[in-house]
Amino acid sequence: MKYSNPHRLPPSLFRSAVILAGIVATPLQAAPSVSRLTPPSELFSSGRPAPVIARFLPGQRFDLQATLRPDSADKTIVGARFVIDGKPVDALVALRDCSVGCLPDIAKNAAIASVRAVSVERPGIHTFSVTATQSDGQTVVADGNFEVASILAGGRKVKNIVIILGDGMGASQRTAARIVGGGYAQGKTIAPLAMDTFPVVGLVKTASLNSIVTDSSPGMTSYVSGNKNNNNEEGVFPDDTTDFFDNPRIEYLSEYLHRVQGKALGVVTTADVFDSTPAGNAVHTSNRRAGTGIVDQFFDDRRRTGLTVLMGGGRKWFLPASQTGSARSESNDYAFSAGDAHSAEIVNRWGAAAGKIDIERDLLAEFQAEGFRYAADKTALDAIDPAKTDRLLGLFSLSNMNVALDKIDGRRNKPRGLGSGGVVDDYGFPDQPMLDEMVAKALAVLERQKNGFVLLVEGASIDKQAHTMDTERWMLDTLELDRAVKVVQEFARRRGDTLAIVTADHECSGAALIGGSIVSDVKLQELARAGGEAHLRDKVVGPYEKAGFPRYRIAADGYPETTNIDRRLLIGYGANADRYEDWRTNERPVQDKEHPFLKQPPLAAHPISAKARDTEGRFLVTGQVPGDRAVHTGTDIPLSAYGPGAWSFTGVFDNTDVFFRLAQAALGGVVTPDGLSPLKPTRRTR
Amino acid sequence: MINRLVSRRRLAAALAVLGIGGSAAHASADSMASLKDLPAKELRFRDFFRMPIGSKGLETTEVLRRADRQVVRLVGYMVQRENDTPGSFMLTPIPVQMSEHADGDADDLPATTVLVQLDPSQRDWVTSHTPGLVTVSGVLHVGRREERDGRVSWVRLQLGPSAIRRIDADEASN
Repeated sequence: MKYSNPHRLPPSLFRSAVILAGIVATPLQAAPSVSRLTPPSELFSSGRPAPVIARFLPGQRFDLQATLRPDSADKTIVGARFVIDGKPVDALVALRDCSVGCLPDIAKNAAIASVRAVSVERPGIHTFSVTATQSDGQTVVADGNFEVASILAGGRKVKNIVIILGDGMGASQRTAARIVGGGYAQGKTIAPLAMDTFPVVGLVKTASLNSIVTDSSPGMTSYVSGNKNNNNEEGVFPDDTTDFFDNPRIEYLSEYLHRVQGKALGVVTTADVFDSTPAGNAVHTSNRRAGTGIVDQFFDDRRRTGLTVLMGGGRKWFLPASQTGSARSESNDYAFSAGDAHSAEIVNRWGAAAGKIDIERDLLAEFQAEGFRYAADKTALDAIDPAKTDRLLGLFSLSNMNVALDKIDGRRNKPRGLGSGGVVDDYGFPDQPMLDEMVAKALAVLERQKNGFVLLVEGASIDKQAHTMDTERWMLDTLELDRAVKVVQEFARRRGDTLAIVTADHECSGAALIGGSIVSDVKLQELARAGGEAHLRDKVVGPYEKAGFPRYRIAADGYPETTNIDRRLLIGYGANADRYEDWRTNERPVQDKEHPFLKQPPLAAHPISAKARDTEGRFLVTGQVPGDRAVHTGTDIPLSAYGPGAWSFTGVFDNTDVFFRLAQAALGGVVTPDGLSPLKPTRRTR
Repeated sequence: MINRLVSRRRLAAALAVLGIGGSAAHASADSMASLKDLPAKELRFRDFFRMPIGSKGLETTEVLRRADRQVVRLVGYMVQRENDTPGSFMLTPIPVQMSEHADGDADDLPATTVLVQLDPSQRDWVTSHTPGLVTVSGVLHVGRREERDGRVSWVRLQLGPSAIRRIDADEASN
């Protein structure tokens, strides 16, 4: 490791260097500096060679990038070159100046040097460096490192990979779903969750590149890129430009396996398809909110990702801007300039689409013209014959799909909405499929892919409803996910060549099973009317043996007949904002006579608070986090695995390890993990 | 909440019902000051678009088209947002709590969401969330418009200057 520029020294060493310089009376000479070197490394950040931050598969592509700062305003960076293991990288170095389009703390005469889509085959730790030359001839060198993982050959390769992700689903969400969906008798589970029957379980560490608490973007991409991203960023490392789509990229599992094995990609979610988790399998952007560009990139790069099935909500991005309901916007679209090597090399070397600012694009029509069968509702989905379907697009709502509780109420004709219909009627999408129905169709279409597939299945609103601490809604969404798990498990059991994992990207809300209600639902309503913690806490919450075993009756559709049972399961939140709690399933307030519907009081007299729900009970649970929503937590999350290769998912491991274990199963085949080798026979000594 | 807003030199605002009723009347943006004197027509969210929504986008109804640029009255819920949005709030037929930090535009807003805009003189006011159903009256505008935060709105309601009023921390705490 070498430092030709004291600006690159770690702070403590830098102070020592200054003192030393004073002693020998040799003034430090100004020089250019490197303020960011990508891939990220501790070698660059702190001078320590470990832990190694960036890790890749042999041949997996990634970008090299450095932010270079001249030592004064009258100088510029005139050249840069990258070296890996002492050998110059044989590719164009794009040098972008920062006169426009860089972050505010980056000087206008700074430059960003990039080499796109490089790869290294040889396993092991590799050192790389950038050498930048300033206009006065001075140079600076900065070093980093990365690792290329070994893939062991010889095992039987899995053909298909299914990643089932319950967004925000920690151990508590799983346990709660088990109690509600299966029940307990004298401490024993009556009917386990499907995910409970997966034979292998591990614990996943979920930190992102810039926080112990990840959001859903790096939470997903760590599993399918092998690398940590910053929060809000998908399939890219951070950079210093304002462009959402030009960040240094990392090749996704879908892209890699499509390139080397011809595998297809399926993405099935209950969220808007542009949301973090689905997009984090195929789209490269530093802004998870850039909806127009994200859905465009899904389609534009379909031949690089093998996109074959895409289902969820989010139709608003697929409609031309002039179509009522469209959300397409120039402000979040993408286009790479052919005249700027910085972004043009993304097209040239990655083979990515150039993109275009085109809010009038009819993406729905383009998908269909490309051979995607389109389903707008469950009826249309049911009508699709997978034996005659090569590609499938399902967009069942404008934004997120409705949650399981509301979809099931809709199917049961239970009026919970504004009029005589259900919430799904209020949204205008009364015929939405359940996640297991979407997954069954996706598997049937993808099974026809001769080279296999990677399928992402997301139960998105476990997280979204945990954010709002709407207990029964995330419970039922966890049950909905588990029904999809069962479909995948049956598929994997039948085929024998499919590896399936069930996990989360992070936990959400710090949910905890604190016990059970000790009263009937009728009594609970009485106590809510009496209000206050003396009634709603002290006379309701039963810890330990008082909780007993809540019993929910499951209807033929697989979901509880009602969640408002006597002696119900109670959930507390450890990462909560202030909230009022009455423990009952949240009905639509229009049915709540306590609400001031058209009583026409001066609305200024309404309580001004973000804590709007269940206020009548006056049981305020003060939170530990500001704002109105529970937050993600940094606790480890469970991962369950099924099928060939499942045994590699034991232990406590990093979220990025998941990628390499999936890749091992697909590329090198199923091997015995370290520490699980069979007992060696011992020789008897005479 | 109020203290926080005041400390940030922002103005908390409370909604006030405009006691108006009767048949519809035409109004233009520059006549907002006299909005209080105009009769308002009751408009229901369910009358905005053809329901259920078909296989593509939304189809506006004749009721909504006729209401364009008219003074109307809507009863709905203020969307509970995570981020302050000076000068406007969203109104929906069902309660919605957004988690912008975690979810961005992957939201649960229904298609009929109306962007309610305060009077231009109040564009820096932050309207505190008001739980329960609220009634708002103003001039309806139908058509695509991209907002400052990048969101696209299709139906907006322009309030007059007297639709909301400032409140101070003492009043809010009572």
